[in-house]
Amino acid sequence: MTNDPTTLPAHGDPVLRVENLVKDFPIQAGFFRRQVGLVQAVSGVSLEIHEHETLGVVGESGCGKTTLGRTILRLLDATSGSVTYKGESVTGASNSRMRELRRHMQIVFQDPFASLNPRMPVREIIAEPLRIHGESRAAASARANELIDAVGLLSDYGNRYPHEFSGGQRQRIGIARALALQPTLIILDEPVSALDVSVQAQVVNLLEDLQNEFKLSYMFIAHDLSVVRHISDRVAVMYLGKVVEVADRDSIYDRPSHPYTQSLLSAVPVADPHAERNRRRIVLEGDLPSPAAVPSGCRFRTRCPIATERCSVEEPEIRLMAEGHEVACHFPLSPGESLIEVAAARGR
Amino acid sequence: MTEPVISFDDLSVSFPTDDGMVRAVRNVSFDVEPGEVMAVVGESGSGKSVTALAAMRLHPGSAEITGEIRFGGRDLLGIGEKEMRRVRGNGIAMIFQDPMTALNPVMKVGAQIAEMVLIHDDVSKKEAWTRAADLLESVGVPEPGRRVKQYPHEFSGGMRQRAMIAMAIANGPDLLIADEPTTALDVTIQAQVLEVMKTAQEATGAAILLITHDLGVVAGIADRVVVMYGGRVFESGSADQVFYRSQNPYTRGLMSSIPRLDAPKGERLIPIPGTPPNVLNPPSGCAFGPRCTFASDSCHESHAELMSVGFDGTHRSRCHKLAELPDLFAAAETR
Amino acid sequence: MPNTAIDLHQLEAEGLSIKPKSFGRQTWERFRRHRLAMIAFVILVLLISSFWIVPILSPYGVREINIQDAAQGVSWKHPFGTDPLGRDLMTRTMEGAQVSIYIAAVVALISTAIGTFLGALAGYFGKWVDALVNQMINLILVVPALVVLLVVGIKFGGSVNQVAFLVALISWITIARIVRGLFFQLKEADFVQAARAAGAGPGRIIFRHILPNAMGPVLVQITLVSGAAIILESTLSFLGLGVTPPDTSLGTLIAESKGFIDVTPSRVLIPGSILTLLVLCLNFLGDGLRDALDPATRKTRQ
Repeated sequence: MTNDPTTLPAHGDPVLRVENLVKDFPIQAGFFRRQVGLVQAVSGVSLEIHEHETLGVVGESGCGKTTLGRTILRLLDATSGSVTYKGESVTGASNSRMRELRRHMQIVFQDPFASLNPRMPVREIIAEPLRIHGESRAAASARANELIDAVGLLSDYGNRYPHEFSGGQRQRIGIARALALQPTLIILDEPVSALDVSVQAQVVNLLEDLQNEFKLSYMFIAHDLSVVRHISDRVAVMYLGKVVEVADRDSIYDRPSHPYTQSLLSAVPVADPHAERNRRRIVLEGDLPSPAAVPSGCRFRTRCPIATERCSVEEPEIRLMAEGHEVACHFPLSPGESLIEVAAARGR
Repeated sequence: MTEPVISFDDLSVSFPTDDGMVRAVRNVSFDVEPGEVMAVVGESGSGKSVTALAAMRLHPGSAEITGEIRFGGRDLLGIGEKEMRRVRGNGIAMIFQDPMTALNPVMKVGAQIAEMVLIHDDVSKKEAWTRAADLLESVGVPEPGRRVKQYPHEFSGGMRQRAMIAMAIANGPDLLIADEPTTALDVTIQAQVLEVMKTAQEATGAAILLITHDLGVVAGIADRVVVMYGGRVFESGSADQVFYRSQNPYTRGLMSSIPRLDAPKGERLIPIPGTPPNVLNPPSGCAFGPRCTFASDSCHESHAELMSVGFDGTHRSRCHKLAELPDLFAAAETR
Repeated sequence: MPNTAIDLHQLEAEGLSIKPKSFGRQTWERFRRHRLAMIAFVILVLLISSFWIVPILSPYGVREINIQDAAQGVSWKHPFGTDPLGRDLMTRTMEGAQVSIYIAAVVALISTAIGTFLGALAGYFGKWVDALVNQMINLILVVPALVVLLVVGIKFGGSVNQVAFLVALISWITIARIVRGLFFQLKEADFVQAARAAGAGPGRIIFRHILPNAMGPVLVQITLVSGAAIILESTLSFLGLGVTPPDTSLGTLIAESKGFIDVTPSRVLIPGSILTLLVLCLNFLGDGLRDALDPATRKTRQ
């Protein structure tokens, strides 16, 4: 893909704009529930999702990607910052306005066993969002049948209860429910990571088909970099509550600029023995710091092979490296530069 | 030819559940050679974990088990519990998926490793603790002297898994069984732990029986691979044979359904239709039959035998259409 | 769609059973396999129906006095014997048991209503609502229940309904605690989050999503609360502070006969055994329900 401006996402108002979003969780202890600490799960995230676009959000556990998704949908209340949907404020919406906005933004959860009410038959589960928004029972039911069909299940299954279905089938049901209100944006929170390997591809393909059919925008949250690469147009890499790099898919995967992105990519095992034998892997030292005690300066510096004194003092701002490619690093790697070599040249 | 470290011979494991009998493992046979990494790959319900647990005799107590598991010249299924305890840890050691539940939360990590040493070795307590610290160091835990005195909750996920590996190699076992050792870990930590397992193996010369669903992990570490589905071995051979010259529709389907970091972008995935079989109500005939694009009537009637493919007998596959497969694969490719 | 061969193949490929099963039906099937609970259930049904049927079939009235038959032991004429006024004890025991069952039912009803309501409020809204309900529960927990009942019993005891109400006043806390915990846990469940994301309000979330999923454990608790209520009522009545004559309950029957334990032990043993059997059956029923409803033991896959 070239950097031809026509292939870049359309300008104008994005479907979703997230600005400086912060979500803190107080840590309480003791008899009086005194606040003894703060976990900053999301700390100042800014993102945009455009029409008919998939933004992949990747990161390891504790990076805040799931909290980000839920805060955008106001399933959690943001501490500060703003979320706007097509120019309208979500964070500032009144309850009745929020109800209306929910028509446009939906979510699919990771765990297909926890995300469906075990006491409701499948057709009712899918019809529920429509009933909430005032559809008649008959119309909602008819629409649910269409949706069951649209996600590749037999409409006969409508009377069955969730426990009868396998993980992949349940995930299809969850997707049908998310589609019921004809939203423009769906937040997919690790939608395939709980599924059997042989079933993941079915769901990925289904999501792609539905996106084309209904012109959907996706925020695809995942830890699996291969799946994200497959499905995303643009990708944001998160580390400890911050976006460290965001760019179009090709730039992220072919020219990763942040040391964390490079190490993450090099750690992903590839199902090819020859390739694996010849790979040079960057094995990061140490563990993920706890989100309750983030390092000063750059949050990645404790594990970064090229961190300097400056990194521990000054927090890097996210800045534009190339058209549509933003990085938060004092020493971003230029295209073709390898972290291993840079680290070696610096004598580490 | 050398003696295998462990041989599974016609192993079958069934256990009763509230909803009926589950035949989790069906007539599984394979060997693990000394010093090699053998990976058992499969999805949920494939029987891979039950096979591994049976080797440690840690399968559910109500299980009915037939066949043989030969280790060190005897059948592990035929020996007494006392003798089996000596095998565990000393001969065969296990690394579990979730180190948080596998480590005792109220015991110091050092004490747990030292205990392993003491059970099987007649050394002083002090000596055992020193060994514990050495072991932690050998698996890359920094400041082992301080770390031995900590409790598991003070360790991060990756560090806990390292402590598990340290416990496992404490008595220089001949075989390490690792049940999804990296599944619960983040990618960057996963890379560290795999590295440690490789180093530990080189240091002790133990063979590894790796149970996993992750083909990427298998490609990185395994010498040989057994692919299981519906409780049966579907294919076995060297990593190269299974990855590059697979003679099984299920293995092929699995390979082409996973998105890969090095695949051309924008290519559509080719999924396997359907769902892994319900263990309580498995299909008649070939377990993969209902999902197989090549299946015909015979596939729904009976299951095929595991047959040798190629000339040296190292590559085996189970499929009714073994003879036609090269043509079928070629035809599917051009479609 | 007809059940053609192709359909069967597809069901098989997707690992589905041929016949759909609802949650309730599946639970019943599991319960049926719990032998002890099934036996308890059958005994309970027989026992309770006999409490109502026997007095109808009995030739003796409940308060019918027959001085010539006074204070007899077990006989063909009077299978449970008679009391010093010659009243047939079988009829009287059955009537007493009716009262015990009635009290258990009223207690179950009231404490479920109060407990579920307050527990749900506390669990769903948290914060100060939770703190308030918690303090109420703690208050009742720290005050020795029996002592309070004794004191209040002296003042208000007597009528069957009053006793039931008193026992319910204590019994609701166990239900409230269970419901509170379930609501706390279920309100974070993904399916509840999904309903919120679709715009559902508190009413729908509570009544359509959380309550139906909380009812299983509550049902188990109700069986235990009923058993406990029967015992508590008997204790009160035995001490003369519960149901008082002319009304009878199992507790008053035992109290009346405590002086005769050497002469006609059957007078104590029979109502005592019925009491024990009732409570035991209720507990086994609860066990069976718990096993049948507990999602942790529900293994349809893997």
